[in-house]
Amino acid sequence: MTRGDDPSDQVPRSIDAAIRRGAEAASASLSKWLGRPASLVVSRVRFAEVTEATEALGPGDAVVASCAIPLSGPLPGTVLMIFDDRAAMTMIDALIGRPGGSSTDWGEMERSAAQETSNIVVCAFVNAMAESLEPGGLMIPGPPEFRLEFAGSLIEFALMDQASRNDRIVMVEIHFSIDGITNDWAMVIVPATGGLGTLGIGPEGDDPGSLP
Amino acid sequence: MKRLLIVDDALIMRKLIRGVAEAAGWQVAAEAGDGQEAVELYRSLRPDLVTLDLVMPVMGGLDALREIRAEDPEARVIIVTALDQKETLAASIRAGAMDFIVKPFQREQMLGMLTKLGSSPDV
Amino acid sequence: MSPTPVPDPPPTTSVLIGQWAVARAPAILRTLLGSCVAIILHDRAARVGGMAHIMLPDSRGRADGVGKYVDTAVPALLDDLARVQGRPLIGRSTFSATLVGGAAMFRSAPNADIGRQNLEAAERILQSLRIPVLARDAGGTTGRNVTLDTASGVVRVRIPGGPSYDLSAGVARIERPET
Repeated sequence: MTRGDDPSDQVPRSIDAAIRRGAEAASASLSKWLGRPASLVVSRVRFAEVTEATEALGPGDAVVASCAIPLSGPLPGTVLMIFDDRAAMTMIDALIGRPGGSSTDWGEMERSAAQETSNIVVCAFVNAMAESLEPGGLMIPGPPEFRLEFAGSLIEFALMDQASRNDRIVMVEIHFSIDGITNDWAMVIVPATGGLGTLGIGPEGDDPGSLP
Repeated sequence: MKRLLIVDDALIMRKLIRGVAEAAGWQVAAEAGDGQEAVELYRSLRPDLVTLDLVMPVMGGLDALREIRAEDPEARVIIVTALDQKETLAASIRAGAMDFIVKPFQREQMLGMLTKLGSSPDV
Repeated sequence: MSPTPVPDPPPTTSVLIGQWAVARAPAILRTLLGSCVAIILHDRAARVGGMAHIMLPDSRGRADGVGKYVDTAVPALLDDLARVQGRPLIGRSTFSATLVGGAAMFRSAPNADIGRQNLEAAERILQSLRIPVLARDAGGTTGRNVTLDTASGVVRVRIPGGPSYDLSAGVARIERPET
């Protein structure tokens, strides 16, 4: 689950476990929020060349609805929640209790629903992950910012801190399985350089297993 | 009728809380989208109860709580947050919050709490 | 009556982050920007153009990742342009520049200032090379999809959810972030 394409691209088992706990906790919260079974599926911890990373979630010039959540604490960085419109509108109608087809575009209510969903998912995820990494440890999410933006530009903004220091970027990619709603949502955790140590990833060239 | 101030940066959450609050017999005096607005509205409206989010732009909930309590040591505030972190919630209680509800919450849970507070002679 | 044949669209080359490309007309160069800056050079007479997608202002002597930094990418871009023009670098003065990008999307991000730094570094190096900057579309908080048509020299920008617009000479559209 958390191997990159290259066998040397790995994160330590403890990190693997922490990410898994985060996903479980976020799945429970999301299910409760949506009132239907939902789960986060951690697709991979991706190690990519900077040039590949901007196309990681599909064509870079596709405009997507997204929420960006800054993280501070031991894992600083940015979490991007990317929604596909059709599934998001279905979710929003269900959340508000409106008939299906009522929400058709990203008005204030729809944006707030995306923000609150992102808030709930990310808070649950980082709480559990922080607790797993270091009992009592805190990861502090900031308020979500909603954006309609080119997918590639979003990722470029988020990965700039890592990209300014390294040629390869690390991101955690997560997809969603929601009962009754086929979706193309994604959650991407892009650590800042300061967060790579927390994930057990050293400066380029270091074997993660050799870190103190 | 008891008056409530709802504070949350997400319109949908304010709408959901409003729905439950009205069902529990509360009158929603106002809504605020950030901590600064919350402090200003508290000052001008002196509601009987506040539901307060923690993670918000401009000013967060914890800072708003401190200012509200400094202004009015009797202020009644319930924290409503997705941050289910012992230390954060403990800090809120120390800063004067009465209680907290973690998001996502079941409607019944919020309804129960607001109904109880609505009928309490202290509020 | 047979329909008028529609000419094939010119080939489009995508310039990825930290890279550059040059082309002779007919050709389109395109790239997608966030905080990065596209330095676009065009020679009207020769109908040759180049685009560099810059990430950072200063290589600080680093030898690798030439395309990432303003100070190393611009000379590399000019070298390739001279090759395509078919004459040595005396031809530098035939180029004019357009600068696009350098946005600051997340107020809270570390190094939210990088877009502005990239723009300033680009302006400085182009000034030192006496390459005039004809137009700018920079700053702000959104991504930009930008193309250069090497035949006409037209630089077209598209922002998410907005229309495309062409940058004309003399346009300086720079949005400063709200403080």
